[in-house]
Amino acid sequence: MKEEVLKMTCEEFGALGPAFERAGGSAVEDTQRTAMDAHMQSCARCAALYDSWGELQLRLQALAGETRAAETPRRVELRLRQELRDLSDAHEFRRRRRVFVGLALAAAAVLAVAVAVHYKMKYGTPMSPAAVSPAPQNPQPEIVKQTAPSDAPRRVEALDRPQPRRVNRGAVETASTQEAFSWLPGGSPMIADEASVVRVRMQRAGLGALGLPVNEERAGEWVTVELLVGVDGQPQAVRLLR
Amino acid sequence: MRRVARGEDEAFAEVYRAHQAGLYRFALRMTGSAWVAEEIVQEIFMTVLRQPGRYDASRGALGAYLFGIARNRMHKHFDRRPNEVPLGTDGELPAGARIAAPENGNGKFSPAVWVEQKQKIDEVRRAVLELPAEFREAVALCDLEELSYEEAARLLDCPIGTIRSRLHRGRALLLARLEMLRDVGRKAVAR
Repeated sequence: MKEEVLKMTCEEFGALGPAFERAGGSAVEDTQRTAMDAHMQSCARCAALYDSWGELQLRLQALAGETRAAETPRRVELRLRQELRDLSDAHEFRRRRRVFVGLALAAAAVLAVAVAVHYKMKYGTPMSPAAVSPAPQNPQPEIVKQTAPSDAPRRVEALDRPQPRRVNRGAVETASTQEAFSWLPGGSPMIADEASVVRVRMQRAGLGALGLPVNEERAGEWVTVELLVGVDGQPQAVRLLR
Repeated sequence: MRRVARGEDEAFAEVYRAHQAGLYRFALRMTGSAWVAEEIVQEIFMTVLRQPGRYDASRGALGAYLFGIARNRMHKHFDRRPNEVPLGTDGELPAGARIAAPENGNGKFSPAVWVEQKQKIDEVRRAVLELPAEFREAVALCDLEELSYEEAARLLDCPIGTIRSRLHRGRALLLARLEMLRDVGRKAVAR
């Protein structure tokens, strides 16, 4: 023990001092405490330092005691709990909005499916192509009047001598109506003498089937036309009747 | 915390009441301002309310997590006002704080002793506030809040040896600030 007391230096005392003081001696071993006591008896400076530690400790305890019961003001808790309620309300609002949007999307999807099924049932079946399709693929001309007798085909007088200029343009005018026959692709003016005129009622889309340009917006419109039909039964020219 | 995340008011009140006082005293002793300490505590729990998912129980206790937030807020506060040294508590003591009225030898209240004690407390408070932040944290937790080294190390997320070292140096600085080291020399000569 004697040797330990003699070995303790001021630096070692300084290193142990705060811990020794703070814990009332319990933070250091008994041998170290004995050594410190012995060192203080032999070193006036360390003894004074020890007194200063004690005084500092008392002041710190006084400062701690001053604020030992300090708490956050009550208004802070009230503000925080109000904030919590606001956040909860906002969270609930967002949740309800998500549910509403989800329901709206589901309803829209159901409505879309219902409309699709309705249209499918109404128009999707091949019960009436004419009603469904505005431009039938293969319209059959409706014969409303046959102007030439079957045994003696009527001669087209105006076409017997088509002017070369007009033939080149692919159109022939009749003397009586001043309407022009438009030659169909493949039609030949050479058969005009033996052709017959057939009046039919058909959709404009049918003119497209004959090789003529058709306005798609009016493809479903019904028109009355006269066809110049050759002896082989093939239409050679056509003209619209007003 | 899961209940807090679900917005349960009672759960939040439970967490708040369990931790607010320690956090407030820590902030008060670190900043020296009741107003700033109040703001810091409010910001800590605002963070808890708005980002409850940030707390991971597997990484430590809730108290250590809250102290971590408090330290971050305080460092931001010190960074914003690096040259400002708060003095006292803005002229008024914080909620719950009081200085016990001392008595003289006859068991009666003595204004002179009370004033002397208040002056000493003010001196040591100023000295603590002038310490570097890491030493001030150790002094605030170990000497003022009277936590053990282990508890302080857990809250500050550092080794116990670091706490011990910071506390030792902090106390030495306090002695110097209070000019008690000079008294040591005088006392030594007198002996």
